[in-house]
Amino acid sequence: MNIATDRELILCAQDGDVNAFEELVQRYDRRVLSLAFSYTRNSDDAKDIYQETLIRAYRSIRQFELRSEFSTWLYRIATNVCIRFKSTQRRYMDVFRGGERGCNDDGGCAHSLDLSSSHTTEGEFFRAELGRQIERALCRLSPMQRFVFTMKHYEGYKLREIAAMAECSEGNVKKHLYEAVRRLQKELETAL
Amino acid sequence: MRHKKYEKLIVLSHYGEINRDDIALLENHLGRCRACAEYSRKLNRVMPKEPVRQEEEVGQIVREARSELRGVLSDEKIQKAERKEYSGTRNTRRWGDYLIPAYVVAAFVLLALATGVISGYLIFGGKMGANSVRSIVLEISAKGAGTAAITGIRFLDSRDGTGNLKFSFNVVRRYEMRGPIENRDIQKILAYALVNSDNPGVRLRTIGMIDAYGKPDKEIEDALIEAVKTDDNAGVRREALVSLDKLPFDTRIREAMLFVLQHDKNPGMRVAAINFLAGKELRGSSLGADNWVDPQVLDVLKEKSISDHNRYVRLKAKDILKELKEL
Repeated sequence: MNIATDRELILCAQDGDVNAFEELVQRYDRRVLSLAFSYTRNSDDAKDIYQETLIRAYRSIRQFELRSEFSTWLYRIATNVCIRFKSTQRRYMDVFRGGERGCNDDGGCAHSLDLSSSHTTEGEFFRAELGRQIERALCRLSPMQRFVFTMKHYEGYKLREIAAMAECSEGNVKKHLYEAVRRLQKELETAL
Repeated sequence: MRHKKYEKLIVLSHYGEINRDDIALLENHLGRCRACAEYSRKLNRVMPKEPVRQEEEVGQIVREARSELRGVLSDEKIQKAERKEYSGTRNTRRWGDYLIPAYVVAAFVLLALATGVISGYLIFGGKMGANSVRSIVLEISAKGAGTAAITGIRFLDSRDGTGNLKFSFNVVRRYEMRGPIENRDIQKILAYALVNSDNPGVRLRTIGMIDAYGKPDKEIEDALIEAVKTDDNAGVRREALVSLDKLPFDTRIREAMLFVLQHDKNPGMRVAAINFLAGKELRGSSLGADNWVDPQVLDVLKEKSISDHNRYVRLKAKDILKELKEL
């Protein structure tokens, strides 16, 4: 059985073939979800980002000119969605008062992961507590700082890869990473 | 003393993003500077080096995310097709402007005007009597028709041998009505305005009036239901929903709310429908047997809690389901 190349699938998707688009994105969507999950630390928010990213990709697939890799293009969209995600949350919070999502006003995460279950040793407990504190502190970073930090710390991307995703210089990414780490350290020193 | 330059290098080194020259420079500095060495130790303690990947969690949610995406994509496909169809129609019309002769366009305009006059005639529900004609004629002079507008004069039969002229004309006249909302004629006009007015502001004001003075009859209730289900304007749909909330809850209103919950494209409206139905169930106005939770409402809420494209709607449905189960 012949497996269609990305290029073939892109051309079909540009002709309006939804199945081709689905097949294409299924090659890369795990990474989109992983990226969103690292950024939000919450599965529902990650799914929202995932959906928004792929809908945007679907809507603009006709404009994709095959000059870059499809994956690069897709991750760029995902990056933009991630960075704008906080403002979307606020818009929702305005519309549905009481329906808070993601970060609370006090900087805590409304739906943070529960990492505390069944920790047997003191070390594990400390790591879990640290994880929770980092998640809380992450909410206080700027979207760009948060993006750079989560991509580096949780996803292990190279700085040049992050720069390509965020469409900015490597120097800028370094600056954001340093600022993020400095602010997180400050938060954690008072918390721990 | 803080060494910002070296702190930066420490952070980069922590994440393995430092070149050989800088490693040597940093190691040399750390051997001499206690503050920077302490900073490096703290960083290693507080932020463990190895990236913490969430492969397992992602694996669990990727299937769910894909199935939700499939639903959204099929909606997108339908919307795209509709937009294409609409733009196709628009283009045809544009070409049509060049192809249709001016007199045909004029005839259409007159026809539309006549339809408006006939609609007005039907709303007011009576045949214009001799007195009405007389009252209009009294206002007419060569300079104008007073409060009325007269258009489309047609001479129908001017040579019938009797010496009488026979002709028709359209009269468009502004009327004022005053009366309680219980008045059937007023209710008829409000219902008509709510469903047929082109102006969303008029439709909103109509609902406002119904709310302010309302003991609306079935005709208005029908119009409100029609508006909540089909009005193009989300603000009008929302107001219609609020207005329906003040009426006695019955199966027709329940069906309308279930329709909104299942089909309205605005998540705010779907949430409002959930609140509406939940309010009725929680306040004991359930239409379920023996006042138990209505199974139809439960079914739709369950479906929404799983498959709605909007996360907040899903959460809201889940919360309400939980509350209803505790009843």
